[in-house]
Amino acid sequence: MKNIHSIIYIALLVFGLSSCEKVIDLNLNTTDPIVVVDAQVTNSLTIGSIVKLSYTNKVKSDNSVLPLLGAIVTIQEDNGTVYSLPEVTKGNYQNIGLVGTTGKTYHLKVVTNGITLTASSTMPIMVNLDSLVVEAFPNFGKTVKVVTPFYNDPKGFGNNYNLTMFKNGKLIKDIFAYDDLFIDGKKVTFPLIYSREENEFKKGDIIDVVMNCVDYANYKYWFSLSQSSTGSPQAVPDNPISNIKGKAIGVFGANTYQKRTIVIP
Amino acid sequence: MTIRKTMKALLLLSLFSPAQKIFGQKNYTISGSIKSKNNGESIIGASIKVLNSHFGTTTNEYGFYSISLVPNTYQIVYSALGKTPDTLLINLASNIEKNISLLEANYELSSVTVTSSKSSGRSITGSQMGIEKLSVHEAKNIPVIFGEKDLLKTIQLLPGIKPAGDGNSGIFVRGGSTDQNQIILDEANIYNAAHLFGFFSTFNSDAIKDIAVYKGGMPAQYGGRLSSVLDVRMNEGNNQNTSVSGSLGLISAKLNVEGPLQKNKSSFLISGRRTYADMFLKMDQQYKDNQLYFYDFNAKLNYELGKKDKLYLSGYFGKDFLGFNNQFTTNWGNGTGTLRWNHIFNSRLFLNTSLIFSNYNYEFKVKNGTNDIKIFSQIRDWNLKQDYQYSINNTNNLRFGWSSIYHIIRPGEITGNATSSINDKIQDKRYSCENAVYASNMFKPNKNLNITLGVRLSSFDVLGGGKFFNIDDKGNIKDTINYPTGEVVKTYYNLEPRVSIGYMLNTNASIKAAYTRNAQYMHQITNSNGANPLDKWASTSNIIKPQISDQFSMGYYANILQNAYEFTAEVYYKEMENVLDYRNGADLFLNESVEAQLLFGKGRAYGIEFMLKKKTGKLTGWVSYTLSKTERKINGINNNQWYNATQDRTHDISIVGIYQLSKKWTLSGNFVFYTGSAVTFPTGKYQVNGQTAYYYNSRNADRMPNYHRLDFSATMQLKKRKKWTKELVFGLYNVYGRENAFAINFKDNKNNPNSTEISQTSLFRWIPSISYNFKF
Repeated sequence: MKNIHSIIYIALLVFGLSSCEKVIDLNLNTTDPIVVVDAQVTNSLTIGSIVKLSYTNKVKSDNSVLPLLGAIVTIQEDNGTVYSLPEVTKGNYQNIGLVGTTGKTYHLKVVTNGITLTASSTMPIMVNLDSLVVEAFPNFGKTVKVVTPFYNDPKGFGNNYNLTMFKNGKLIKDIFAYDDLFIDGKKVTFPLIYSREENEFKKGDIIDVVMNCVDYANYKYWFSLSQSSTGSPQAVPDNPISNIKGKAIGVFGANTYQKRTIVIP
Repeated sequence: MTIRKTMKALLLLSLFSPAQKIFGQKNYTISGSIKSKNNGESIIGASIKVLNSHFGTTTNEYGFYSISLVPNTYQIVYSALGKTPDTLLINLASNIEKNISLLEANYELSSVTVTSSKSSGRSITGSQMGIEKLSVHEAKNIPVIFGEKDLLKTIQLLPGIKPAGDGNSGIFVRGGSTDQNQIILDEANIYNAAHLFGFFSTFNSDAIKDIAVYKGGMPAQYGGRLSSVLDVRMNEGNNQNTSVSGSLGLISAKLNVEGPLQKNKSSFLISGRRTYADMFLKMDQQYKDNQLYFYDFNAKLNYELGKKDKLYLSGYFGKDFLGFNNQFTTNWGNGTGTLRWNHIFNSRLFLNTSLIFSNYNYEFKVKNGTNDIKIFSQIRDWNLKQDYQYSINNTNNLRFGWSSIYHIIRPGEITGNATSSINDKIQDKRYSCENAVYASNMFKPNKNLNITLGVRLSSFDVLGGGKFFNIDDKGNIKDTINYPTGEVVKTYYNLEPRVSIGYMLNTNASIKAAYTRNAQYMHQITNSNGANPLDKWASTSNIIKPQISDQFSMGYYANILQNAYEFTAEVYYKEMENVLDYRNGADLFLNESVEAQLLFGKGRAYGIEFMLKKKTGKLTGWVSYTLSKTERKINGINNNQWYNATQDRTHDISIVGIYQLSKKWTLSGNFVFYTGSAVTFPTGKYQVNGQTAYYYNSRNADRMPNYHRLDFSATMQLKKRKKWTKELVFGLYNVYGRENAFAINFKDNKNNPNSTEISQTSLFRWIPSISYNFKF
């Protein structure tokens, strides 16, 4: 429901009829690079499991990743098999043999430059992503097309979702993380409302929606990221709540994976 | 606590006060009320001075005064802001009643000295400090955005009071947050004093008499907020003639009708305002289904029951509407009602009893066929209080009373239609009772010294009915306890001393010092980016502790060049405890346990404020400068270290000038400069799951660009006909079109998504305005 705030914000800008936006330059402080963990175990054979390790970059640099090389990465499944994940490309650590299973807990361990990072995550049950629907949505003064995923939240609290959307194969940089506090046991029909005008859906666009069912710590990570680290003036500037133990930021999730595709009519 | 017990305690207290001479010397009193001659409005804070002596007093909120003196012959000078003074020769041999009507001061230009009483509420005498007063009359010519006269915006030009944002009516007082201001309209608490996101205040200047802002040294009769009291008083209505006034502006139209019900005795006032920006929206096919407007409505009735009793009934109702394509609609508003009964027991003892109701609610609706959702929240107060003012003798004035407020909060209710994706959820109502007893004595031991000793004992009962939680450090609910309705969950007590001392250095200068403690039991949960109408109010609970502030202040006051100039300097140091902020990643949206989403800490603020005011001549106005620092230390933010509060602005300058060019034209201008607010900019960035995320190091270590702006306005008096007065007001806000930063955004560049762009949003550049005011 962060959208309420967005709507108020938009109204405010509209009301200040003479409001204007311009690109500026600022002197920014920089911090020493910090280790970023971007890791997930999935139940999908195609996506598999991948641990991406990198360092934070300067705000004014480009968005390329500064890879963390030569780390020793392992993931243990429950109290059983320990999978080692060799570095397959710069900063990307992978083991094709590791495919997650619902209900199991995965323990990540990263050793690099004398520091050890750990994190654990349990793969929740997979809620079926039933279908996608294209709907019209009012966007002050005009109507835009949006995609709505349909799924049935199972009765009982504790289901958490993180959805991502791609337009013609390109990620739309908006975060859609939900818990089931208000939707428990309901058919969920919330549209995924993208925030940037340049992403506007046109006829023929191919939209992919990926739904990850995630544990609560992962939901909290994505939700707090959407509330605090997006660079938007509506966000309270802070770092998202990480489940990584050790001197690093980022997230490790054991997530279910489903993808559906729709073409904008 | 029974009233009788309280009274007894207060009487005892008054005996222990330094007023040993209470029964020693025979005193007689002069008492009565002071009114404005042309409309019968009672005058607040009018001065009653005994010539060639140091004795004097001022009228109270209802225009009543009482002064006790030993038998003698006195010359008494009655004066008030914008009025011609009156002097009476009184031979005091018994108690005397003197009701005075003062004439409007003569503003004609022929007399170069426009008026010497055109002063702020600051007075070098007495012990009250940290106060700013502004009447609608004074604020009349000062330029304001959209030409919409607004006292809450004009007071931002005074030292120590800062706007919450560009064109915003929200204020920060001496480092406090917006919810730490107690905004009361005819004693009723206004929980959200803003229309349209703060661009307008809820106070329609046509219905308002004046505003007093206490930045420090709050008298003991006020309590409940840490940083300030904004006491707004509505007009009573003309009890001489019926009159109609109004205005047409760019944004709104106003109409005000007032008149006598019985001449000299009772009157009424009805005042309404509505914005009509939405009418323009409707003209455009594209926007015709959108709504964006507010209205408000003030009404007041006063009735003299007899010589000793007077009844006042006043009410306010306002509402904002905002809607998009009939799919999203939201509305919010305040409603208040105040019934007051003034009773004069005798020439020395005055009582006011008030029954007050206050309500604030908002509603947010989504309607798209499948998901029709409604969200509702409300806060409601019932308040009963009594305030006694007792003039003991010529050196002691006692004020005491009690107040009891019953708060009912409906924190959040969400309901959906059958096909919606949500389950209905009605959160438990929160009940609480806020009580206070207070007493303060103004004591004048000698010619140069004024001492006010006051104390307020406040208590807060958190009442049951619903679930209460115990929370661990991480914000997880440890256990849940159910309390039956009416059961006391927890009671808090706070003793709030209020001490102030004033010392006259000579006839033209004085120094003052004050110490004030305040306790706040109702809290608005806003994120550090500022308030919006959907922000929640939460009452003190088993987890949320009352906020406490201690403020020390000192000041120097001088009248220069035969009162042509007035100089003030005040320093303050304030400490705050139990201030709140959001926990990172907090989800306050209808969260069952607000407490689990909050962090607690402390704050400190200190600064020095200067003001030089020119009160006479063709050119009047002031220069004010504030140098200040405001910090917070909250467990869980910024590694538990002190950091700059959002409202921390090092320098703050305002210059206001009003120039009477001719009988027809008045020109005015103001210039504002302040250091950019403290903000947090990212110090790094990274990619996670393909999203660009920003890394933050320390909270509020950066600054927005400095803010500055110049405004002009010109008032043209149109030809006066017998009973008609008309004027046209032209204004230009932000004359040189400074693009002041409203927000700064970090995002992927639209054309080159691999790079970051920093963009700045500015709101108001060159806002012209024209309005037409009339009265007949």
